[in-house]
Parts: sequence; C-alpha cells; structure tokens
Amino acid sequence: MKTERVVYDDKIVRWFAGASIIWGLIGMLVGVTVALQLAAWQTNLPPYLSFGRLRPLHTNAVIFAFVGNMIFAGIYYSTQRLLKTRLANDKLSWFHFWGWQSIIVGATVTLPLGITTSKEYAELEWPIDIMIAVVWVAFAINFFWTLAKRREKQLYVALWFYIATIVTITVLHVVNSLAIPYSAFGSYSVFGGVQDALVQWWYGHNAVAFFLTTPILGIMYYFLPKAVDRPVFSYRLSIVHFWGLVFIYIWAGPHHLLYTSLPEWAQTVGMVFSLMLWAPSWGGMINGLLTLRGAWDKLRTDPVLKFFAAGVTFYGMSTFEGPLLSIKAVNGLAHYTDWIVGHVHSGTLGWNGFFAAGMFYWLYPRLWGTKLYSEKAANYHFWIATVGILLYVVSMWVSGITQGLMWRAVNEDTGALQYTFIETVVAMKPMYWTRMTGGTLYFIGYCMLAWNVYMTAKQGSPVETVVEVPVEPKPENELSWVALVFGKPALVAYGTVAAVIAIGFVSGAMSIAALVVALGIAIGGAYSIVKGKKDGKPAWHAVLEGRALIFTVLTVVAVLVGGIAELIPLVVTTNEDTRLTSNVPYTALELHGRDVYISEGCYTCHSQQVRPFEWETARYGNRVSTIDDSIFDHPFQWGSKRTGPDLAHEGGLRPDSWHWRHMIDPRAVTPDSIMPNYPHLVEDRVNLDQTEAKMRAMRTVGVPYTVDQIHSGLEDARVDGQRIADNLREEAQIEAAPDSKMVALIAYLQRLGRIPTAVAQADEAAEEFAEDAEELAEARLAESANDTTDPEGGR
Amino acid sequence: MEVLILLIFVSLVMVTLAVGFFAWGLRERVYDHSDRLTLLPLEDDSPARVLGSKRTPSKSDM
Repeated sequence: MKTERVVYDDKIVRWFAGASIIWGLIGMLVGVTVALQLAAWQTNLPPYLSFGRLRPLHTNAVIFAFVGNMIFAGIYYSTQRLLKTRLANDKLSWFHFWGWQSIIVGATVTLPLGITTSKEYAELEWPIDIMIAVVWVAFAINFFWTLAKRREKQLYVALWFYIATIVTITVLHVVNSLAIPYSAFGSYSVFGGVQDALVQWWYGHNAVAFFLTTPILGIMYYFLPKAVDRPVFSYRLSIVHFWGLVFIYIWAGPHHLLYTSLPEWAQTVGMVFSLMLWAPSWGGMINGLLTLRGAWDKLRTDPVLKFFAAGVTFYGMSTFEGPLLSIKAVNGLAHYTDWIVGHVHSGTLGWNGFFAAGMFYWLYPRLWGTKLYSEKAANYHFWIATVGILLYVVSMWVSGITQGLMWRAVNEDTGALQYTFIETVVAMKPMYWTRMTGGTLYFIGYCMLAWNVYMTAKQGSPVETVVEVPVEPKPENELSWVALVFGKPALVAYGTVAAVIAIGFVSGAMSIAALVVALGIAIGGAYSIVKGKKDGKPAWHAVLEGRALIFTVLTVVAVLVGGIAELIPLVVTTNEDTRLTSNVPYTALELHGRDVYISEGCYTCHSQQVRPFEWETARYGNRVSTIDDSIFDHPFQWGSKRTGPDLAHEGGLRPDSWHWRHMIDPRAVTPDSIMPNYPHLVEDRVNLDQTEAKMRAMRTVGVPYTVDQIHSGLEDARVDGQRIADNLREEAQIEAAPDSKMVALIAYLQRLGRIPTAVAQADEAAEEFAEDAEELAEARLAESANDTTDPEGGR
Repeated sequence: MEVLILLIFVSLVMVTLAVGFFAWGLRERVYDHSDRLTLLPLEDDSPARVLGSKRTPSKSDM
C-alpha cells in the first residue's frame, strides 16, 4: 500500500502545555490569595487587589488560561495522531496561541481595574469578548480543516467530544456576550432580569459542561488508553455516553436558579435534566475506570495513572454531587452557601487539575525525548494535592451545610431567627482557614509539577514525530448526507424529542397525547430500524463516524434543542413583562451606582434574590423577590453566593451615613465582618459625562427611558448626588463629593427593592422588618450581655 | 401524585426499549467497526526525532 510521510506539529503542543502550567500557577496563587482574604480581611488591598476584583480573575485564570491552554495542548496532540495528519495550518495554530494569551493578559489587566460585566465566567468586556470569538473561530477553522484533510476516515470518540466542545462554546459565548457598548470598556447585556439570569446560567453551567468536561473527556478517551496501554473499556458505551451527555447537559442550566423568580416550569426542567445527567456522566466515569482493568497494579508506581484514576474518580464524585444539589429540597439548603464552592472545586481540582497533571507528566517526556525528571516528586505531588483537595472540599461541605442550617434556624419559642447573619459568618472562619490550607497544599503540588516538567524539558531536547501513514483509496458509493441526516435513527430521534418538547407547551389531555406520540415514534421507529437492517451493510452510526461534517451538524442539533426550548419562551414573553411591570428604570445616579457595585465585584458575595422561605423573608425584608424587581437589570444581579447578606431589599433599611461608614470600615458598624474596606470610593469620581451614553445603551436593550429623561440625565445625577451629599452632612457631618463613587453607590443601594410606584408597600415592609429586628436585638441582648453584634448590620 | 404512575410506566417502556435495542445491536454486530477504532490511540507514533536533526532518541533516553 502507498504510504505518506507525516511530521506532526508538536511545537505548538509544547507551547500550549508550557502556557497552561505558567497560567495555572498564577491562577492558583490568586485562588490561594482570595481564600486568604476570606479568612483574614486585612489581606485585601483595595482597590485593585480586593476580593471582589480578584475572585473573577481567579476563575478566569484557572478556567480559560490553565484549563484552556491544557485542552488546546491535548486536542492538538491527539487530533494529529488520531487523524494521521499534521494540523491544517501552522499560522492559524500560532494565531490561536498568541491570540489566546493576549486575551488572558487582557483579563489580567482589566479585571483588577474593575472592568467587568459581572456575568460569572463571562466577566470580560466587549472588546475582549470579540477577541475571544475571533480566536475561537480560528481554532475551529484549524480543527475542522485538519478533519477535512485527515488520512483516517473514522473519527475516534475523543474527536466527537472535541467537535461538541468547539461548536457549543461558540454558541454559548456569542449568545451570552451579546451586549450594547456605552464606552470603550463598558457595556450592558442585551438580556435583562430573569431572562438574563436564564441565559447566563445556560452559559455558566454549559461552560462547565463544554469547556471543563467534554474536552477533558476527549482527552481521557485518548490519553488514558495510551497511558495504560489498553483500549478503552467499551467503545459502545462511549457512543451512549457522548450522545446522552451532549443532549442532556444543555438543559440543566436552570438548576442554578431554583426557588428564584425564574418561572416554575424552567426550574423543573432544569432539575429533571440534571438528574438525568447522572446516567451518561457515570457511564463515562465507569468507562474510564474500567479502562484500567488488568492494570490496577501499575497505580502503585506510575504517577500518571494515579492522577488519571483519581481524576476519573473525582469526575464521578462531582457528577454525583451535581444532580444531588439540583434536587430542589437539597438546593434550598445548599444554594448560596460554601457547599457549592466545594462542589465546584472537587470538579476543577480533582477532575480538571488531576487530568492536566497526568497529561503533562505523560506528555513532557515524549515531547522532549527523555524520561520524567523525578517520578518520586510526581508521586509526592499526587499525595500532597489529594490531601489538599480533601481539606478543601470537606471544609466547604461542613461550612456550607452549617451556613444553610444556621440561616434557617428559628427559635422554637419566639419564632424569631436564631442567628444574625454575622454570627453565621463568624462560624465559618475556621473552615475558611482550613480551605486556604487545602488550597495552599494543592498549589505547592502544582509548583512541584512545574519544577519537575521544567527539569524534564531541560534534560531532554524538543523532538518531532515523523510517521509513515498508508494512503487509503477514496471509498466508493458513500451514503449521501441526506441519507445520514434524515436516516431512520435520526428521524426517530427528532420525532421523539419534538413530541417530548411538545408536552411542555400543552396541558391536560394534550400533554398525555404528546407523550403517547413520543412513545409511539420511539417504539415504531425502533421496530422499523430493526426490520430495515440488511445483513452486511454497515450500521448507520458507523457510517456517521466517518462523516465529520454531518456528525458536526447532528451534534449542533443535539446541543441546540435544549437551549432553544428553554430560552425562546422567556425571550418571547419578556416584552410583555416589561410592558406590564410596575417598576421604573433606575435614575441616572442609581445607574452609575449600579456600575460601581458591579465594578467592585459586590455580586461575588451578595445576592439580590429572596427565595420563598419564611426564614429567608424574615431576614430580608418580609418579601419574596419577583420578576419585576430586576426587570431593568442589564445584566441581572441575583448573584450565586452569600458570603455577605442578601441585598435585594436593602433600600431604605438604613440611613445613608450608615452605608458611608460601612463602606469605609465595615467593622465600625458590624464587628467581625469580613468585608473589605472601600475607602477609595470616597475619592474616586463617577464619570458623569457617560450618563447619556449609558442611558441610551440601556434604552437600546429595552429599558424604557424617555428622551427627556436621557437629556436631563446628567443634571438629574448631579441633583441627586447633591441631595445625598447634603443628607450625609446633615446626618453625620460627613463631607461627600456629590459625584463620588460612594455617593452613587449609596443611591443604588437605597433603591434596591424599592420600586417607586410600590414604595409605600416596600416602606411598610421595611418598617415591619425594622420592628422585628429591634425585637430580635432586644431578645438577644437579654440572652447575652456581652453581645456586641450590630443587629442591623449583622441581620 | 398520579403523574408518578405515568412517569414510571413511561420510564419502564423507555428502559425496555433501550435494553432491547442494545441486545439487538449486539446480535446484529452493528458495533463491530469499533473494534478497530478502540485501538487507534494505541498505535505507535514513534520514532520521534530531535528537532532540527536526524537523531532519534534512543530507547534508554525514554
């Protein structure tokens, strides 16, 4: 048979691997820093290095810089070998590399400066978002071009996961980043309130799915068999794993929004699909673990296999915990607590971090034509990191469950809340120190990896792989694309899914009818496929695996179904919601204040969403949050964590001067608070010249500002600023600049939960709430004469 | 709660279908093509050579 000589491009793999390790060290160091800041507030260095600004830098650095570069290295290395061809275009590969590093540098500069959209894991502002889209498309072109010139017709399962990653991240990033700019580094999301919440968590959840999971699964399916020198346990199972995972994952986003103002149907869909995810996730985990069958003894000595085996185990643990947390009753306890942080880190440190470590320890010797410098150090790394993860995760479980239970604890005699919020914060402090210790151990382990692979590279020389591959003749009589896209199995799947989705849009007898139709199509279709199979003909899926384009199209269909079914109904109804709302848009100064709130990362610790629990309304203003409350929030500010109390109904509860003192030194009004100081807000000025541009951008995204309001916005902001400054002087002899960021932030905080047309109702609730708080304070004072906690600040 | 009966029934039908389909697939050997694919990652891609030269790292190097 005729053969061709192929030289693989491993230089790009070496660079991506090196970048991943360097950024990983930086991202983890920032992680340890923010963990320390939660344990010891004094380590916040405002404005640039305080928790609210560093936390997004940590998540972006570890997700997109560390894991991102790692998956590019793994994808480029394995794709060339599985397709028996060199990457399609060297220039595109390098554009991809340098473009991605530029994006990360952009994030590293802008996030500490407070330039952020506040959308979790999508905080980068619009110019960087555009760069991400361009670089990602370059990566996609390079990948699919390589697929097109492949010398191996059949696509191995790892490649399916890479395809799903590339197409889905493109869709997620583009949709979630849609925004209208008002300046070079400022923009407002086109989505608002509940709609934005759904889009954001559709993105956020699937960023975890398609950036932190599917590419690593692809890497697992390639590198694990390679490391253990055995084929994957079951290729058949991998087919079920792939299609099950990509179809179901995309629906699960709303589990981040249980008990919020998101419509009930969307919450239920999110919960049900999250539970369904258990099956394919564990199918994949079992497939990975059983690939090690017959080679378990190697785990004693081989650090690569140690990391891979533990990584797959952590994948199993976190994909068990995810669906568990999606059950509404469990979520009611765990949401907003540290349990979620522990869950996320068992996945990222255990699954992503360990797979990265295993891959690098396997890859570096091969890329530099030498042995690993120190297997002993790699083994030490494994054990140090494992202990680190366990300390981290267990402390966050304890902390989260304790928080959840303390928040809902009610005095049986008085019916009053048993703990102020600050008491729950104080109870967490030992766990925060334990978490920081665990994170530090993990970081030390990674430093050992960096040293080990550096020494490995130093003792070897960069090598390139040259192979002779057979040139296969072009097959004759291939099935047409029509036969594949509209083949029997595809039609049965389309029909069944369409009928199942229809159940959600009809009610009563019609929904039963739709269910019967779905079953009928599934049963009838299966029978037809079984009957129609001719002996000797290749199976439909076998043919599909050899057709990259059709495979990609079907993957896109599988992925998009869930997104469309969930997002479209909410997008369609939003205009009506906006028309009927009793809410009115923020004043110009409140809008500026909201931007300060976002810029300082307040949303990383404070939620703005009161759930329908008595113990929650009792703590937060006697009112459950509604769609109306956040309808003009572009983007929404519901948050995902309560390191500090919820602020949904903060407006009017305390005087302006309280907020002033609280921002300058939180401990002056709430002893034991762990919130950073924000003294710079007194000196920093709001750019009032941007008022009109901001209001115009808001109007473009659907906020009903009138032309007059926009024209008078600047003057209104000045007048409102002066009013608050006068008030501060009157209340506490505080001299404030009317255009200071502090004044704007106070304007915003005093507006929260106080829809002007419903002010009377809100004031009544606030008054009632203040009375309750006073009674609680008195009761507590009676209980303990030494209690120094401010009942208002502590809540 | 009556809906639970319906859901359990539908789930059982789906599971029966899936198991039946799987058994049929095994009998008809529709996944036999995968036997070769599972071995793809294991194909030896050596020899690697030192970049810019024709030297191949020796076995003792690796």
